[in-house]
Amino acid sequence: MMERSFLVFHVGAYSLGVPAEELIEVNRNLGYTKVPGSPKMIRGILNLRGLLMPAVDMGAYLDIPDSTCQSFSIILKVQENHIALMVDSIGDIMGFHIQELVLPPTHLSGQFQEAIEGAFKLPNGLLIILDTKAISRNAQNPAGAISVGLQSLSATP
Amino acid sequence: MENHDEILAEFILEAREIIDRLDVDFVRLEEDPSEQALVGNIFRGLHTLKGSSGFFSLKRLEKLSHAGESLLGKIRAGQAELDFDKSTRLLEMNDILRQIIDGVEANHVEPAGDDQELINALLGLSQSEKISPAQVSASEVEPELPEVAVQEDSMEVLEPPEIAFASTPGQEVVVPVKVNPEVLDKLMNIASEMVLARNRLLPFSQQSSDKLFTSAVRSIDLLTLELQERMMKMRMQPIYHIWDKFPRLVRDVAAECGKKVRLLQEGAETELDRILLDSIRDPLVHLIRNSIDHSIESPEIRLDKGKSELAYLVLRAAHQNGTVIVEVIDDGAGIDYERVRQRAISRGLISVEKAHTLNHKELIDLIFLPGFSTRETVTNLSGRGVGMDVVKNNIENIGGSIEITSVPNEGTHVKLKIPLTLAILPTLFVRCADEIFLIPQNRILELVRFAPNEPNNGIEDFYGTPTFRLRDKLIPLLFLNEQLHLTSTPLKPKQKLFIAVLNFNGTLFGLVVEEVLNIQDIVIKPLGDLLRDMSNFAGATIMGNGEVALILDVDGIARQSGLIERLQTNPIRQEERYVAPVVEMISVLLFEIPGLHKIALPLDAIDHIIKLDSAEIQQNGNREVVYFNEQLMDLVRLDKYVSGGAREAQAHHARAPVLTCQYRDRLYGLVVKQVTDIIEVPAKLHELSTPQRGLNGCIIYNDQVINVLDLEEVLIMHNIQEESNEYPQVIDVYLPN
Repeated sequence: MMERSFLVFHVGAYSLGVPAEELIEVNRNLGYTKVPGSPKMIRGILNLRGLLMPAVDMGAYLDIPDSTCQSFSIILKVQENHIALMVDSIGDIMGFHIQELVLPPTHLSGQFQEAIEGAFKLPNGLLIILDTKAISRNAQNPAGAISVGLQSLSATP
Repeated sequence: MENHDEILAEFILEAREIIDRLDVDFVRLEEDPSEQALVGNIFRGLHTLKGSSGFFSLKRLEKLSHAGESLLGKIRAGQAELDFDKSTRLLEMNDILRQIIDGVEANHVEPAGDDQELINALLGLSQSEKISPAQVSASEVEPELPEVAVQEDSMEVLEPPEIAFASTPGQEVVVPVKVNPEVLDKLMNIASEMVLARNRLLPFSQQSSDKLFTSAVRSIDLLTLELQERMMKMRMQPIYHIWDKFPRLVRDVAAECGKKVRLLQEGAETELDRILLDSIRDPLVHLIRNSIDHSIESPEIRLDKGKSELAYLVLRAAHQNGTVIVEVIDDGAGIDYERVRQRAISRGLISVEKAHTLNHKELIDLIFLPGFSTRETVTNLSGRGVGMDVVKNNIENIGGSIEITSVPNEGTHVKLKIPLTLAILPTLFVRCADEIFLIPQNRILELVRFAPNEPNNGIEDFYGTPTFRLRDKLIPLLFLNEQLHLTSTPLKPKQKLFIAVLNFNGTLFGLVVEEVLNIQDIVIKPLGDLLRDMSNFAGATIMGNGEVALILDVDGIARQSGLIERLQTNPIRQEERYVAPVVEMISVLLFEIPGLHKIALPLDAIDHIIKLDSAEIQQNGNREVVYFNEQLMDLVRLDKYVSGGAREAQAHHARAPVLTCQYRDRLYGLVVKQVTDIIEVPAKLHELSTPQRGLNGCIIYNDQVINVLDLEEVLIMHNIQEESNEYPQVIDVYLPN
């Protein structure tokens, strides 16, 4: 049984997870600089000890309207790129057996398939595991980014 | 296994160096076949390569270098001479060696391939000058070269200590360490972060009274400074790192064009920032190709012209006033100005009439236009229309400039001015919609604070393009907030505009920003793929407070705005534009005297405006005087001397305003009823049809007539009155200033 750890965070009413091994650190109230002309999902650029990286507004990326995504940023290193995910709040690091991952329903349209790797069942709902490579890809190449919606997911928070 | 990989990586690095070196040496040797030291160098290089490839059992590499070595052994022994044919084959060998190394790096095994043909050719060449052509076989060549064999032995003896240098401590020879450029960049990054962290620390130490703490901060301060300086130096690399490839390039291009060119390099040790070095490589390659393909003539034509058959191409680099000058000079035919003129006309870049008024310098500027090429046919060297404009852009993007001079039949001289380092760039900080943006200073021609006293802010509409007048030119305007889709307060009438006049491929345009802050040197941060699609930004920097600021991409903004297309459809013809009469404005003080409102006096005629208590006024004969500023001041009651002034009874105000002024070294105070305003009015006066006493003329301001006081006349009358007691009707005296 392979166990993997995930950092749990919240955007709006959703519980989301990213692989813990990609986590660099979690920060509060990092300042960022807006980039005029960038798509909504890019909050701006932030500076983490001399490293510039895009700050992704997860609320906008996942199209979750009741989120502010103001104070917490999760710094990830996905492959060679650093990105910062702006989220509402931070949860724990949780371990799951990889076999328990429920793949997203196949009837999800292409873009949702891209954003979501799958979900784990929690006692009180689902933990949706995000595809960080897709986030990084979209953040690096924002012009081609498409906002993905979670509303259409059957998962109820 | 890992150890093996490491050694292999080292070998690959070394092999590349050897192969690069060989390229240079072959070409040099071809030029001067008698240079024995070069033959030795090449031979040793190939030998090392052969030895190492045997160690890694890279068979292809080994065989090929062996064949090359055999041929060189002959040359070294004086049994064969390096001619064009031989060096072509040897260079071919070099290319294949390079390919093999690339393959080894990628897959850790040799790429498959058959080099037998080349090996045979190489061996054949080494045999050809012998009396009896022996069978072509590597094993047979060797015994015939006892000299080589001896050398081989001695080389093999030499090699082991070279490899084992690390294990022999106490050796005095310091071997330079090769560092991965990425590691360098990271170090550089940390060093500049260190500077920022130090900046945050400094204020604390200034407030602190703890001596130990402040002295610790001071040493951190000094160390950081030194660290930064050393990091900067570390990035510097001599220009020969890119020049090394050029002898080969020149040889190949010259051979392809059927020309004979000798490359001379001067100042190859000149140092430049590593990143800059990378970005001037392509422009230099282009310039060299251009010189050989366009400027340098074929050997027959050169002979006809009385030049030597061999053309010279000079690369020169030197430091000059904090910049690096890189020159590409040839002694070819130079730029054919007539052809440039014709080409520009036929491509529709300029009108025929205009073309014939251009001088040489202006014609050279045409070369930098996109899509310009004098080549009739497209060759794989040049003529594709992506040419000098790209070179120019590349050079300008790194903050450099390019200058071309050319004398027909004497050659072309291209001069590149490159900053020493790219890492630090002076930029102008501007504010727009509460955000700070940076404009590279080298792109700014001038900064204009534009404050016309006109309701439309002096902005004129030119076929939908806002423009403003800069001296005698109409300059199109772009508003930064619009370009970046930022919301900011709309322009108020008469609002001052801050305009940065920028140059985009020869078209001037003004970028309107809300506020100009300061000019500062910044460290450019690599953005990587971050803003790849954001053509408005060239990069970012981290400011002293740790915040990120974006650097504007002047070209990107100009291109994206569509301004250039709009100007192409409706070009601004500077010479045809309407010339507005220059209206000179002056500031005047507006005041009232008894009986007459709205009298004005130029502000610069007045020294002070004071309030005078009637008690201070004293009599001096029939004059009223006041002791003011330790001087005696004549009081002049203007109503006495000005047409329309009503003599009110001496019920003067208790504290009357008095305008003090100097006239012919004497102090006068003009008593007025009330000072009302200071206004800007056109300096040109409307003459009065019947001259009025004490008045110069009048100004129409907001449909109102304002009388302008003739101070001189008033004061003359005032002084005459003393002597003759007679008032002349009108005095108009012309006094030269």
